[in-house]
Amino acid sequence: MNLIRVIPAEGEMRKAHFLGMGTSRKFRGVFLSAAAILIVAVSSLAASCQQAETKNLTIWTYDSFVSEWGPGTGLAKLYEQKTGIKIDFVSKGDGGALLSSILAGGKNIDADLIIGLDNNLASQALDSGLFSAAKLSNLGKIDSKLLVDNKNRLIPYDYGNFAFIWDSQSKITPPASLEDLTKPEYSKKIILMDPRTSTPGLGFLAWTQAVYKDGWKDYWKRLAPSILVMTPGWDTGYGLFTKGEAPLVLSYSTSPAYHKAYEKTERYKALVFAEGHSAQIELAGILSSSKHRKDAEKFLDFLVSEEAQALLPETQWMYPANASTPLPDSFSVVPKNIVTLNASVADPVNDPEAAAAILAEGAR
Amino acid sequence: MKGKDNVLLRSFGFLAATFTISPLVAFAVSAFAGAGKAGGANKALPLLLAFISPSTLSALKFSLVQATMSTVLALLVGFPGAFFVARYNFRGRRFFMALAAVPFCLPAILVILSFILYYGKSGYLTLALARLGYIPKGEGLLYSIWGLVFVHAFYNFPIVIQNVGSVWAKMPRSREEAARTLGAGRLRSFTTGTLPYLLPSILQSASLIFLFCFFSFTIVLVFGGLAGSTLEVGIYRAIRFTNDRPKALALALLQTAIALLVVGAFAHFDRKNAAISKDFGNPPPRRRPRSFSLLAIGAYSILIALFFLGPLFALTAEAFTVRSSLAGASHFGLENFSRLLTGPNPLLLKAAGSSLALSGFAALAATALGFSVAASSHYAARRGQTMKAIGFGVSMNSWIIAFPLALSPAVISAGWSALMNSSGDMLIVIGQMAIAWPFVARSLSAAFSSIDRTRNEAARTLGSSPLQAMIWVDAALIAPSVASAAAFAFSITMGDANIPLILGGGKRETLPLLLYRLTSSYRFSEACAVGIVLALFTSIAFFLKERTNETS
Repeated sequence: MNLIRVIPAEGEMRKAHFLGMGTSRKFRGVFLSAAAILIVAVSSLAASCQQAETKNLTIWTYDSFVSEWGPGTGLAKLYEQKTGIKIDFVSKGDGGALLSSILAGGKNIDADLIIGLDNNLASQALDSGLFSAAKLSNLGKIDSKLLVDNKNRLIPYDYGNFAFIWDSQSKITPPASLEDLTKPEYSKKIILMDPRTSTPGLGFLAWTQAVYKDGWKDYWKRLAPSILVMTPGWDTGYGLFTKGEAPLVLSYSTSPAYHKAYEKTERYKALVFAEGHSAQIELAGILSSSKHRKDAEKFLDFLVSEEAQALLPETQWMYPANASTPLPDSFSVVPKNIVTLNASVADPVNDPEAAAAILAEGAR
Repeated sequence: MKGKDNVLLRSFGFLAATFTISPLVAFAVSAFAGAGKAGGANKALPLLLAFISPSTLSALKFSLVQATMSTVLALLVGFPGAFFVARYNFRGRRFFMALAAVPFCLPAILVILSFILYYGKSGYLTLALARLGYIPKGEGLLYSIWGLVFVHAFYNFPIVIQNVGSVWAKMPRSREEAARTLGAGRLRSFTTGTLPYLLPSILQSASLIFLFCFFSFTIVLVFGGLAGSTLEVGIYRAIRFTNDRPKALALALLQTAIALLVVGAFAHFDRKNAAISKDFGNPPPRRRPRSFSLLAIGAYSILIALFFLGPLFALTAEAFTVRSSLAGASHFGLENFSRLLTGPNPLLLKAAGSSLALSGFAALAATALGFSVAASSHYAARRGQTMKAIGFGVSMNSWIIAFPLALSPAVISAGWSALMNSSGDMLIVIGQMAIAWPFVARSLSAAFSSIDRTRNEAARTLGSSPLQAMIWVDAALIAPSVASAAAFAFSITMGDANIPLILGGGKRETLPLLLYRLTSSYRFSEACAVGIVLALFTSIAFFLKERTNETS
């Protein structure tokens, strides 16, 4: 108890002595003015922080967008240089987790923009009523086939065609159509992703439904013997493929560009199928609860501008949505003659289950 | 004193339960807050139907069958190892015990890659066999239920070596020797003198492995063959893709109800095991292996090296394999590491730093909480104030400790994300602590109940107060166990990718998160390199744990 009383007194005296002030009265004056300066400084700092805060945009996205190899950092830097507005990216896990946190958060989400939904998740996101329409000057530059929402609440920023990647060092002839995949020569030669747990799996289901209409279940039945394994996510499936487990894997038509850019190899080739391909269109949107609507709209306009779009091909490994964006050299290995089908899963609740069950039946 | 203990016991139990229950409650609230497509009441019927739908039932059946098969094989593989580490002193004994780190710390995608790199079509084993002129038939055998059971068993068997082996090592020989002097044969004396005392620890390991396999997700889907489906798939899908949280909750409740039966069995055997090993006294000396036993240990080691270390070796080799040349050929080198270590942004170093710091804090917090729960239960029990047994002869606190093992990881992740509206380091630490503390509490409960009470009593007859005796005698006895529990907590939090992914906001990169990011951007060889570093950190923690166990 005594100690506590003594120590501040000592400190006070020592300080007073150090400052060359004999009387405690003078010290009090200095102390008071110092305190006043401090208060002004802190409050102005707080004010400037608040001001800066109004200039900040918070964007929820999925993890690989903000990772070292994603476009997040580059986009934020570029945008801050141009406008002085800081971008705060917050990752919510993977794409599925992003949607589920948006829907769970509802109107209380502490964010202005969402980047990273896709055409498979769009209807649920729009049904939630959490997104508001955006007026963009660059809207006309976006490939009109990609516009999934006529009210422009969700804006496409990149897209990729689902395609089978073929290992050219394997000794199989590359298939040329979905139907070819069912041939006996491809028995246990294909790695697929599960339509219940992954976006590419869902995209493949939509693809087969677009091509075979009501006959899609029969197609899956015929396909079953060709499937070696159905992985829960893209990364596991593609990992198995590059380790040589099978010569064919479901991925994106842009995948060979990665191998070209970083491994300098053209061993893995995307196959163009006669029936056309389904696509994944990635979407961004402004939350109606955003307090910075104007700034959010500006950023979205920036995201689909050529300048920002040029960052996407070699980070997202997807095509930019703005068709006038120049493509990097690595994309020269991506086949150009792909027909994009308008494809979506008819019954997103039951069809993936049914598809998985058909494959299970066929494997038995 | 009596009332105070009870308050302590209850409050620590309550605190611990809060960490387990709150994400669950948060998830349940979010399920019924109207975030789903349809309103509350008209969900009831489809939900009831979901319980008994054919897909749920077949998923349940498959989960149970594969988990049972995997557990049986893991027991068969692990049992000889448990015997060897219990009875013999040999080179690599400690290594055998430390292998138990693997099932807790190696992320599923690396387990898959390592088995593929070894057993796969262009795997090391396959190529080696081909060179010997043997080309294995049965293409795709790895991707069938047999492959799944094999991978699960060889991923989890070290748990048997560790848990059964450590009990067996402490078991006095007197009973078995007595049986033999009475004329019983080797087998007979084993079944009457040893097995009854070993059974609880065998069943305890079995229930733990069963739980791991029951909740296993990625490995089941990849290796389970196309028939592979689990309840967790339904839960995951309902949360992530169809946004049907009430359905996810229903499936999760079903899954948890079944897992709770196993958890109850686990807690029951755990308690029995602790009760049995309490009376063991000083561990008997371990022999040096001679002719026959040496041969047996050698054969067993070769078996383990071939089937279990092989894949790990393949993973290491992959980390040093560089695949980036015009011809597509690969060579050995350090590029996978150096690419992550050099440059203005040395990712691997930064991630290792973050992982060490975050797991360090999380492990400390988990140890503090786990210790408080275990200690308060122990001292309350010592005064004859055990909480009422509420099932399987297991007390409330034991249930609290075991309960987290029965929860769906997908639900817990979504629950944490619903609970925390923000993200940051603090939240990562809290989330990871919530994962790790039950393991600390469990191993410390066992350690407390095996404390030799006579020393405490001796101190008190020599004039120490109960508190002094507790601090100077019990604390000294329990300290090594606390250290090893902390090391275990560190390993568990170190290997977890989920919590940093969900609560980190993408701003903090830990080793498992870096690994996840590498695999989701085509960089599989670099992911293996990160995996090796991660495995190194966790195994160091485990070796330290084994060392403290050894000296205690």
